[in-house]
Amino acid sequence: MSGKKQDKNKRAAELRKQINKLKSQAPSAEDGGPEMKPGESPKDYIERRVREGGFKKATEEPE
Amino acid sequence: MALPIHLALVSEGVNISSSDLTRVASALSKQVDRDFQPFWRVDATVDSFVRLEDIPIDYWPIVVMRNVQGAAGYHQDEEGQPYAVVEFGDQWSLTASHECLEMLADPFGRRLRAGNLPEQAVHLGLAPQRVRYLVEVCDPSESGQFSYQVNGIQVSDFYTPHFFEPVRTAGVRYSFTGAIDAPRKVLEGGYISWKEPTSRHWFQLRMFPDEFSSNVPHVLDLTADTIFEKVKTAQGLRAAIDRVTKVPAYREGLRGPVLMAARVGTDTSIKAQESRAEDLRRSIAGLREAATPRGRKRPKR
Repeated sequence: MSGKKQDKNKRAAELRKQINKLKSQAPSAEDGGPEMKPGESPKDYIERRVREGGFKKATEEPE
Repeated sequence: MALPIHLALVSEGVNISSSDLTRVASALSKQVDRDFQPFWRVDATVDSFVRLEDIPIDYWPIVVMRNVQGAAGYHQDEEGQPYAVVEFGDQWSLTASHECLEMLADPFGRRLRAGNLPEQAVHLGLAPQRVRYLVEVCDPSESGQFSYQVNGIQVSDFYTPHFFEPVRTAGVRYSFTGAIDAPRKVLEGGYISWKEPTSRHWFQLRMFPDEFSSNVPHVLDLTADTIFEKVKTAQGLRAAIDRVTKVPAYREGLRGPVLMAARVGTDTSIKAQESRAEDLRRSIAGLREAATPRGRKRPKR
C-alpha cells in the first residue's frame, strides 16, 4: 500500500471515530430541545412542546 | 496568489448515487466560483468522492450521513482542520451548500466582525451598542424559502460583506438573492449570533420558535441559558453555535410556491441536460461515421 493511500485511510478512520463520538452526544432539551417532526407546523410544534412540558412560554421568567 | 481551498463532498453510510453526488458537487463548485467568489474573494474547488478513504488528505470533507444527531454542522478534526457533517434528506444539497459556503468564509469557525446590534434586537428592547458577530454567511437567510438553484440543484442564499455596513444604502446587495434587504437583518427561519463586549455573553436573535420562547423574533442568552460555553471550550465557537441551535423551519424543507418553482427548475434543467446529451451523442456518432474509411465496417461502441 502506498504512503498516500495509507495517509488517506488513516484520516478516514480518524474522521469516522470523531463523527461517531459526536453522534453519540444526542441533542437534549438543554441544547435547545427536540426538533420539529416532519410536516409539523411551527404552531403544532409549540403546542406539542407545551404539552410535553418542555416549553417555556415567552411571558414566563427564565429560571 | 492565495492557496486555494479544496472541499470534498462525500457520502457515508447513505446510498447516494455517484451521479447525484457529482451533480451536487458541480453545482456547489459553480456557486462558489460564479456567485460566492466575487463577493468573498475565496478560491476553492468542490469535488465529489464515493468514500472517505478516497479523499486527498488536504481536502476539507463535507460528509453526508443519516441520523447525524449531535454531529450535525461544523467541526474540526484532531489537527484543527475543518469538516462538516450534513443530514441526508430531501434538501441535503441546501444544507451542503450552507456548510460549504460558511466553511469558505470562515474556515476555522471563529471569525468575528464588529457591527451595530440588529435593528430587530433593538426593537425588542435591547440597548443599541457595538457587538461582535460570528461570520456565518448563511444563517440569517438559511430557510429553504430563500434558496435558489444552480444547474437545477437547490443551494443556500448567503450574505455579502455589505451585511455588516452601518446603514442601508439603495442598490446594495446584502445577500446574493437579494432576500436580505438591509444590513444585519435576519429573515424568517434564520438567526444571527454575537458577543456583547460589556457582559461578555453570547446572544442569538432567532426568527423561529424554540424551547425558550414562542415569540418570533426573540433573543436568547446562549451563555446563560444553554450549554454553549461548555461546548465552545471543548469544540470551538462555531461548533458550539451549531450544537445549541435547532432551527425548526430549516428542517421543514421547501413549501408552497417555492417548492413548485424548485421542482420546475429541476425538471427544466434535467430536460435541457438530457437534450444536450442526446445532441452530443449524435454529433460524436456523426464524427465517427465521417472518420470511418469507406468500405470498412465501423466498430461497435
